[in-house]
Amino acid sequence: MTTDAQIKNNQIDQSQIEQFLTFQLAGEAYGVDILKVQEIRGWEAVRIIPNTPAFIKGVLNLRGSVVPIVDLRERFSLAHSDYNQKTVVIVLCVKHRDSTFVMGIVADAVSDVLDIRLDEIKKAPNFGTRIDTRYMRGMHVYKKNMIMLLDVDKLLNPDELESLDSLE
Amino acid sequence: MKINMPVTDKEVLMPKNTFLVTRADLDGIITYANDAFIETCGFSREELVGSNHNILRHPDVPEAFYKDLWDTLKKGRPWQSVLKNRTKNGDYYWAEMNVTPVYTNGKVHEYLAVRYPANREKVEKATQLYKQLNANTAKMHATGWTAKIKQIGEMAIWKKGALVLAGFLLPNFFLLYQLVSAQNYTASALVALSVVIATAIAVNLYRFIDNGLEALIVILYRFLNDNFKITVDLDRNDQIGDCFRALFTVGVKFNADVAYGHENELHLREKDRINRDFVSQVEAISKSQPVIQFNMDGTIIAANDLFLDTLGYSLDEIKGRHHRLLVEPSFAQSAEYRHLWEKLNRGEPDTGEYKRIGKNGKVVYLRASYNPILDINGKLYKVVKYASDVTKETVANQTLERVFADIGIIMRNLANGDLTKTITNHYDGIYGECTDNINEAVAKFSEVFIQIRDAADFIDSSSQEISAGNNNLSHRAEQQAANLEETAASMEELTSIVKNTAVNANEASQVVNSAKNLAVKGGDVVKSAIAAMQEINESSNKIAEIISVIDEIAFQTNLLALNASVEAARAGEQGRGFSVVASEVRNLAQRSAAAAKQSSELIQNSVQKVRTGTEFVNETGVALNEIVGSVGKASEIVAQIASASSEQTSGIEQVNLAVGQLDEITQQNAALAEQASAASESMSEQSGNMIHLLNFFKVTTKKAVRSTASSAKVQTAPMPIKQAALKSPVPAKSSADDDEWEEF
Repeated sequence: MTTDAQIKNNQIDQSQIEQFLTFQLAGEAYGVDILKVQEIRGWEAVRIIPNTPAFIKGVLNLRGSVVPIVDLRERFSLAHSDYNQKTVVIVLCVKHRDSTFVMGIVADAVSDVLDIRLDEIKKAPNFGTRIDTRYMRGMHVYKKNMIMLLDVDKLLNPDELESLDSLE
Repeated sequence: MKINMPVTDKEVLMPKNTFLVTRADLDGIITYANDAFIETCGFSREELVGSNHNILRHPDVPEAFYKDLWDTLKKGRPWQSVLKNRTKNGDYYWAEMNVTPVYTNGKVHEYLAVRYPANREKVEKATQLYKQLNANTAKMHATGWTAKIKQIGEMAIWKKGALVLAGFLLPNFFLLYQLVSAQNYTASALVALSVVIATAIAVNLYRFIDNGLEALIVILYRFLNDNFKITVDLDRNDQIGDCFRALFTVGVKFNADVAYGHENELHLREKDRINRDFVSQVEAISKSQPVIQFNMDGTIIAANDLFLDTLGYSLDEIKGRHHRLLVEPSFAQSAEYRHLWEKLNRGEPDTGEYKRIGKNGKVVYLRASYNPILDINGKLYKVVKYASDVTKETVANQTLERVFADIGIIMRNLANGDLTKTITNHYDGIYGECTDNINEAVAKFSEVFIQIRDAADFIDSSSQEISAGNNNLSHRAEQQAANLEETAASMEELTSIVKNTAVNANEASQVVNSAKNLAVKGGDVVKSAIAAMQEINESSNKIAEIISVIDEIAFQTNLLALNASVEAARAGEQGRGFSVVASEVRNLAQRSAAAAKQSSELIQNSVQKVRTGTEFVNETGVALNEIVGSVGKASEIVAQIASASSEQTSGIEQVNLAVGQLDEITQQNAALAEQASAASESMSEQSGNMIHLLNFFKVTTKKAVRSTASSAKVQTAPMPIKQAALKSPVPAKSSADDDEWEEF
């Protein structure tokens, strides 16, 4: 049935649908564009880089390339949690200006891959200047859960990181 | 010349054998006078000693006498004459006066005068001589021829001898001259020879006499120096020899007199000592005892301070008054009093105890002796009374007699059974205490008799009650006997029940033992259950590990499937089928994870339950152990019950025995109760007798009223009783009065 419905949806408007990888962070669901995801890995120890912001956990050797790892809990000023076997690292390809670089984010767990119609994505609410919502692409309501869809390029923009750093 | 005035015509006659002795120094100053002299001349010793001898002169005596006296003494010779002397108050006395110088070592150092009563004839002559001398018709010493002849007669012997010799020699010398001139040489030679011989004889004779006299003089002067020890030739047969013997006799007598004198002196000293002893003893008596002295007619001469203090008089008040002042007027009139003085006047002493009246009627008792005193001539001249004050003792004796009389009356009353009388007289001190105590004792007796009577009454009624009670007791004893029989029957039933109990207890013991064994077995089972549980637990843990591995695999599979989805998405349309497969794989992985999660939960649950089960089993084991212990205790208790039952059996048998004895005793009790009833009746009779006897004692009605009801009060508060007893002549005081006394 599901497959039939998906086929029907695909038939209805294939170009209108995007796939999102959802993950858990402090009990809330977040989503990123699946095409930005390079790889999903279990948590393993990182090499600590001194004199970096607290949310930069260090760097990871990923088959020869050095990937910085960001803890989104700390990045979003959420309650800190210990890392365990279920903790995962989502390796993302971030596009900045004209270059692309790889960066990992730490999530509590990976939930699912969702097919979301673009018209079902709600605009992010405006909270004024104090809280920056630029890295939010929108909100999606799914099975009574609200999934915050993140704009990876904006969120993990090195300029943005610097400005955040300067803010702190 | 000193003229001592006045003079009287009164002559003082000295007793015989009176010697008046004085001594004077070379200037006529008196240095000593003996007692007789002082008594006769009237001067005191102080007046005499140190005064000139001439104060004794009488104006009738011519001056020539005294001149002659002093002239003679100055020559160193003694002097003697009858002399008229004057006393202090002008009287005169005649004395033969002998004055002699006293030599010491050949020198005069004082004069010694001894006077003694003069012969009356000599007094007459002296009186004549005084008159003639005063009239100048006579002289003290002879003059003219008389004096010359006297002087010749008093020539020294050697002069007399020389005259005699000259008278004898002159004719011879004349004869010799004649013969020589006649040339008759033979005759002249004979004459000359005879003259020489005669002269020689005469000279020797003279020397012989003179030596003898000198020796006598030496001896006599020695006598004067109180040296009576002489050594002379007692064998001479001539007159000088006689003189020596006479002197020797005198010397011996003097020695004897000196010895007597010493002896007398010693006797006198002894007498003096005894006398002093007596005097001090009498003084001591006078200090310690009242002493009074009376004339023989009974007038008071003197009394010492003690006597005066005792009677309260001063000496002036009683001196010269009659002794009857000191006795009761009635006694002074009595024959007895008269007899006392008659007896004393007969020289008989009177000793005894006398009642005498002091000043202001003060009664004094004296233990005294009236002693008639003799003077030196053995004549009664006074009565001395030595007394001691025995007023206190006498009064005490009288009080004692009265006290004993009172006590005697009380005792007589006591003997007659009269307890209502008390001693009403008041006495001081220990007597008062004694009488108070006797009164108290009588009161106490009275009290006690009342109580005894009450007690007897009580006994009487009680004994009747006892009699009735005993009858009751007898009945009850019979009833008790019946009850005891029933008890015995009950006891037998009880015995069988107890025996049953013992049997049951034994059975219970066996049952409990088997229960104990079962419980022990249960314990073993529990132990193996615990082991099984632990094995289950281990298996569960292993299962949990396996499940966690499955869960890990599911997670990894999920990650792989997600990565596959990512790859499929990247592949776009070409990866769509792969995406479906990936999602299917993801679904499987998720289901696998969910299943693993459920399994894990189940196995956790199982482990939890196994743990709980283990705890339960453990608790079961503990409980079983407790059951085993409890069963053991129960077994012991049951055993104890069994033994107790057997003991009870024997105890019940003893009780049975006791009940049997009780039965006997009860029967004896019944018999005794009858006896007691009889005894109480006789006791009632006895108490009646006792009441009858007690009626012999008369007691105050007041105390009868108090009786047993107030006996408690009597014991707790004895003081009011004592006071009531002391005041017993006052009739019937109520107890309210006693309370007032207590408050008082």
